[in-house]
Amino acid sequence: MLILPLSASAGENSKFSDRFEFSGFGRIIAGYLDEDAASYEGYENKLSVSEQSLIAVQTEFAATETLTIAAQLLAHSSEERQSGFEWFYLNYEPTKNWRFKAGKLRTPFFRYSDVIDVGFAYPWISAPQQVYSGYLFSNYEGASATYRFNHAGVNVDVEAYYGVYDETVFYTGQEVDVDVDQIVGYIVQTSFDNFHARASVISSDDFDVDLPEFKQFEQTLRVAGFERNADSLSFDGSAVGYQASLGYDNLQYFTSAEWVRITSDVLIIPDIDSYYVTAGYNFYPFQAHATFSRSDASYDILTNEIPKGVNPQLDALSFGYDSVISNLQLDSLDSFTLGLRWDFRPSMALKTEVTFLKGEDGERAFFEIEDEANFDRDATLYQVAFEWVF
Amino acid sequence: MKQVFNTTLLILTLIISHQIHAQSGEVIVIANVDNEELKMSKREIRNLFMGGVSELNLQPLGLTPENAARLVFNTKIIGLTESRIQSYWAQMRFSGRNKPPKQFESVDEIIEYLLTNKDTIAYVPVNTKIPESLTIVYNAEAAEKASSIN
Repeated sequence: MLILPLSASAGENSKFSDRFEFSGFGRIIAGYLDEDAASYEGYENKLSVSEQSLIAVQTEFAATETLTIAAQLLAHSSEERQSGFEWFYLNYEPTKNWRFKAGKLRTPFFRYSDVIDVGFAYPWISAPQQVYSGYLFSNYEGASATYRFNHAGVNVDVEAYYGVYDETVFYTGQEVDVDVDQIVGYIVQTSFDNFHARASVISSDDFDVDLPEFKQFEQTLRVAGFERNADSLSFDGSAVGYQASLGYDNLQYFTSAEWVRITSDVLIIPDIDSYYVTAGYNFYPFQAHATFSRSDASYDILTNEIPKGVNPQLDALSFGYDSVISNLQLDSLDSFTLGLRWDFRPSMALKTEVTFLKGEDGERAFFEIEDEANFDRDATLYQVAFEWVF
Repeated sequence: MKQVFNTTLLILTLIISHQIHAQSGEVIVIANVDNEELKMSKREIRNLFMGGVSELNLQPLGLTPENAARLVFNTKIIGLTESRIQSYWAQMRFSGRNKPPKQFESVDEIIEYLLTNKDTIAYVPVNTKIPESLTIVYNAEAAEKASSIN
């Protein structure tokens, strides 16, 4: 008599566990930069495996046929990346055409932004930095709505999202509070046979970067009557990003290109135009690829209106302003990457890649410069990676 | 000695021709649908198996990568290598957009699932014995012949 209810509850339990799905991904990356005077993406002139290696587990629970709860927990080896929940959201798909998400989501700035940690999903070890480091926040809290349809063989996805971001990020080696409200984004993606295209725009009218020492200086300038120069030191403003990408894949080769433009009136975010063009050849299970990437960065800087030589106080302000402006970092960089990927198992790949970097003279060019006098902005990055999904 | 050589050659020839045969073998696409007249184009099938929205509410089923029929399907219908398809699904899954078709180890298992689940669709080798209740919605060989006649 006791066996019946027990077996019945065991049956329900197995159904309950069927509603859970576990998956994940990992990557181990070793890299070396042939340069003494600077580092790039954390890589120096000694072999390191702790800059980009990571592991993540994704859990999905199907509460009902249309409602899923999903979480992605990520552990990262880099000191400059926080480990924790990258995704944590409710997914509601009332029909095959509509999808709604709410919670903590990855910001889908560019083609691979929301899967930038899933190295298995793209050909490179390091996606072009000129495009993929062009943002300050990797996720947001909010909601998104996607409408999908197929017309005459063309698949179209239209997505709109809205949210906020409030976290501490690492900016040029120091921790900075970034508070971004009113993040609004739109994405249109289309695919037709083996073609793929994507265009998107993301904006925020309320982008606040908290750098206390700069804010104080800005107020001092305001009090002294130099309103326009004070305004130019704004850490509270708007930023807009535009993106467009195209791709074509077939059995023999693949090619893709992506372009982004970011404009902003927040001082530490320069205007940046960047793109990459990539082409590859498949000889399964191998894939060889080449990528050229370029970024052009600039600041719209107001001339220093604070006179020098009038009195010591004004001199201090004026030289102070000059020094703030001269410390602004620009990242204009050309790079050429050659890589090879070997999918030795359906869910595992080994990659190797060499990237020739040529930065603009006098600029930071995505490097962390240790010895300015001896750095010609020329360096080569060598990487090998193991990519895994499960 | 000569006999050994001949035997080896014969075995090698058999292995190679078997592989060639396995790779050049065709697949057919079958479905458990009420409409026995249903025919689908290569593009419709590709779209369905890559997770696209389709007017036909069919659940696509796939074979695991060890199956030769999957290679043929990837090559002739999807037009992408196994590794590109795997990375595509990694991107879809981990960005919460879509999931790959449910996978089966063998043709027998896939047929069994098809038979017991309405509105399902799968590819199988052309020489598979198809139960009567299932509908052939695409036959690559027939489609190729038709296009070569035209």
